[in-house]
Amino acid sequence: MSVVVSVRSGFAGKLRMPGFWTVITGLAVVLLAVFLLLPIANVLAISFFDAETGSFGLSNYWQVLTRRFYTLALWNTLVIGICGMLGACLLGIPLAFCTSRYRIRGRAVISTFAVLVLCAPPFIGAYAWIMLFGSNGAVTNALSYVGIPAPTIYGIPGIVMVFSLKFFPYIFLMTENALNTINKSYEDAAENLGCTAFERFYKVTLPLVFPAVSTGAIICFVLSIADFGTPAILGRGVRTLSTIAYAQYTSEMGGTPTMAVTVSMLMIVISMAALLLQRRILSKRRYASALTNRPVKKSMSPVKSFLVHGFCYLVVFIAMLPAFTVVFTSFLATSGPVFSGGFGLGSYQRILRDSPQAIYNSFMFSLAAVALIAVVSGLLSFIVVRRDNVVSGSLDLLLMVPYLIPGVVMAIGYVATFRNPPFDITGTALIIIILVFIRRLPYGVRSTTSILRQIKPSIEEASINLGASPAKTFISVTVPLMMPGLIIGSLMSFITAINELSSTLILYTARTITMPVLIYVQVIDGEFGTAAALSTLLLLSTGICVFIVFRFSESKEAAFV
Amino acid sequence: MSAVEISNIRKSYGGVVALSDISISIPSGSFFTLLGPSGCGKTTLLRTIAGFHQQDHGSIAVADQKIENVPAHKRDVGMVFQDYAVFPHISVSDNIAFGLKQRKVSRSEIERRVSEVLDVVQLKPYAARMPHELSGGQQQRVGLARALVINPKVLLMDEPLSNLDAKLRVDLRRELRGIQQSMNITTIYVTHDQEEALAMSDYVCVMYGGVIQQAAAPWEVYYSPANRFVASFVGANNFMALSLNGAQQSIAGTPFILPQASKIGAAKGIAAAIRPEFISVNSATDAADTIRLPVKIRQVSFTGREMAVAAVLSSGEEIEAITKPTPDIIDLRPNDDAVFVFAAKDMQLFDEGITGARLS
Repeated sequence: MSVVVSVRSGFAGKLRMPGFWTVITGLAVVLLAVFLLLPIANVLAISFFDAETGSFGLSNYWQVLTRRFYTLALWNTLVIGICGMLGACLLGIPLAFCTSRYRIRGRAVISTFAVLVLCAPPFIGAYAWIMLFGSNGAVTNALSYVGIPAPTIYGIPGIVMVFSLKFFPYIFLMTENALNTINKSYEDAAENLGCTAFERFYKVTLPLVFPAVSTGAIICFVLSIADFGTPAILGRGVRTLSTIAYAQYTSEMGGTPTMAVTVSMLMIVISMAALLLQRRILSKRRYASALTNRPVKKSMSPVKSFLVHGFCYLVVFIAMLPAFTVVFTSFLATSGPVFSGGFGLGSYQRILRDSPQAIYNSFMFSLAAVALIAVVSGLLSFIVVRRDNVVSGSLDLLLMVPYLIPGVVMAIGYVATFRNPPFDITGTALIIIILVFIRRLPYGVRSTTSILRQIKPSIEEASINLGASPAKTFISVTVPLMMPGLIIGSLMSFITAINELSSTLILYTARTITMPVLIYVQVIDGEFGTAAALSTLLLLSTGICVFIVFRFSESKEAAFV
Repeated sequence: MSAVEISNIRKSYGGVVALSDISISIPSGSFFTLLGPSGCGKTTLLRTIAGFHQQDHGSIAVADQKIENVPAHKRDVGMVFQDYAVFPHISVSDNIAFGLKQRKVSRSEIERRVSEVLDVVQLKPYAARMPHELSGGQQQRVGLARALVINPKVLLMDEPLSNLDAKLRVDLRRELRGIQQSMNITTIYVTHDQEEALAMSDYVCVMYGGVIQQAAAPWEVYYSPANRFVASFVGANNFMALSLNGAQQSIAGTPFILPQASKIGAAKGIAAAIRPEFISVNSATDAADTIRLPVKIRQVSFTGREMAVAAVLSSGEEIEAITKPTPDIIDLRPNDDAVFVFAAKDMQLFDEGITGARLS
């Protein structure tokens, strides 16, 4: 083979054009500055101007921290957040221990149910429980028929129960994953040194899975205090910060939503404090170990087996009960808002006739947002993982922000930021799509980032070395290799996008109403039949996405937490 | 065939100097090896030539064309990676054709050149396979073929054999060198394996701390190291403290007169170095310039081809001899007394410090 020396010249001495990735990094900074930081900054600014006098200062915060109306809500929020978190731990940790240490039949069913609970629209739980245990609920009526007073579902205990059942899968999936990756030699060593089974669990196993448990717990806490739908539906006079923020906002429509914003800021501070506390605790506990000795699953005596299986199935069955109830209800025959007895497809006919717009909007908005997420998260994760500069480091941190900011706050910020011509996009589909995109972007980026970390940079360098430009390399080498992560990330963001309620509730108009908003409105109006039909539709789309993620993902359930 | 001229390349990360004022001329068609411990800057230099790092200062010319400011994808230098970096999502032949497609080579020409280079690396039967169906050695051949097929001006190799097992490494080493010689392609090769460097190269360039310690032919680097670092990194060596007492010198209390020591005057901290293979154990020779050091045996190990005899001097310094296995050496036991014998001319003297200059 002869060696041909091709002559190229003219590069030396010329100014270099900004590279492809420099341009992309610049665009990413602008995008996040305008659509993430600016709205948050606006919300923050509003909170410092007095609601009545308009003077600058901390007067709003003073009000929130002293007036009983607010302090009670703050107290309720903290109680609900902490109890919801503890409840989730009480369900999640034993369940994880059972499935990872004992041979359980139908383990796949249990984890599939857990994932479905996680992905189901968050407000479905609340109103399904009302249909069962509410003042006119099926169980309440049945019990009162035989003369037993049913426990009430309304108020703080009801909200805590719904949150425990709704969020325990985070604890379960994370703890189970941690338990499965503990080197069994530690437990063997403890046993060898004279620990009983309980001591071993308490002194060795539990501390080792503590990082995972606490991460799951912090997610439960943050989600519990940010959740709007459940306390709104089950509260009956019990106010939390999120319901106050929404109520204040809607009552202040047209004016400046000062108090709504101040209350929201308090919620963010609580979430951040919780997160920082957990990070601080975790920073001293880093346990890395080689998985040389895998944990084994033990078989059990028949009695123990019966009890353990019973516990596992009972937990996931109760957690799935709202979903079952909703699907069942959707097939009940109705006349108007009243259930007329028997089965029928009436509810479905009504949603197709009355609200095709909401169904269409939900899918279109979610798909549009997901398309944006797929493109942007691919590019962003490349910057985060491959580029080593100030921007890439802070991007990683910045992408944590949407997790912490409640939807209500983001939505208020969007209205405050994008209502002035020529950038007035309030009331349009665009503002909802962009907001959902920003709020769900971290799901996409997390998935693409984790797969990109597994792709060796030398593969991209080889492509560049062979003459492909950085842009061409990204498209023809990086993207194909990232594809599984892109698909999972897109599905995950689709699931969360189509179930988005708290932010769209503030931004929607008659033309841009979505399914979750419509369900919320109908539940408030007592239209359970059509709400159930719409919820079933949401559950179905969510279920299909979950199924596809299971097919594509190697670690299955772990993809969801 | 292109000569490579590297002038005054400097690179630092934060305050840490990775390359300090590197200048090398690499003759056209030669096999040039950058050898050094990890962190010495050899890979940084190679990646700077490839364009993956931007130098702070200096220039790089290939065939008289300056390339230091050319983007990496326009440099026309082939690179073979330590972890193969074979594209996992396309077949072997598509991997090899990748660079040609970027260069808008016609389809028939691509087919011809891919098939040609598949012959060179003996992968003809694997053309349609996917990379995960190949062994590590085969994947690295794909990496090599992919770099060769674009007729690069220079071939860069970043520890291409270090992920392979020992036996395969030696086989592939020979094959690589054969291909390089038959194509007469200028090659810059990075390794931390000094045996590999000596066996393959026309020139070995020993680096340490971002500085070139010595660049010369393999035998020169081995027999005539420029400084103490080169003497210790390339091949095994025994270093002992040398005491000066007027015209007389001594090691561990054994006096002698070294002809090469006359020039050094009264420097302090001088180390004398003798390679293990120059030492014979308990030999009876009594030639004029022979040094005989009494030692206590520590351990005798038999490695098949030779014996390694580890011992301590009366000063506590350790010293090792490598000799042919003979019955009386095999019978040596720990704490036996013995004498290590070597010719004074084989000993080299170095100044103190890791990179202390050679004094003899």
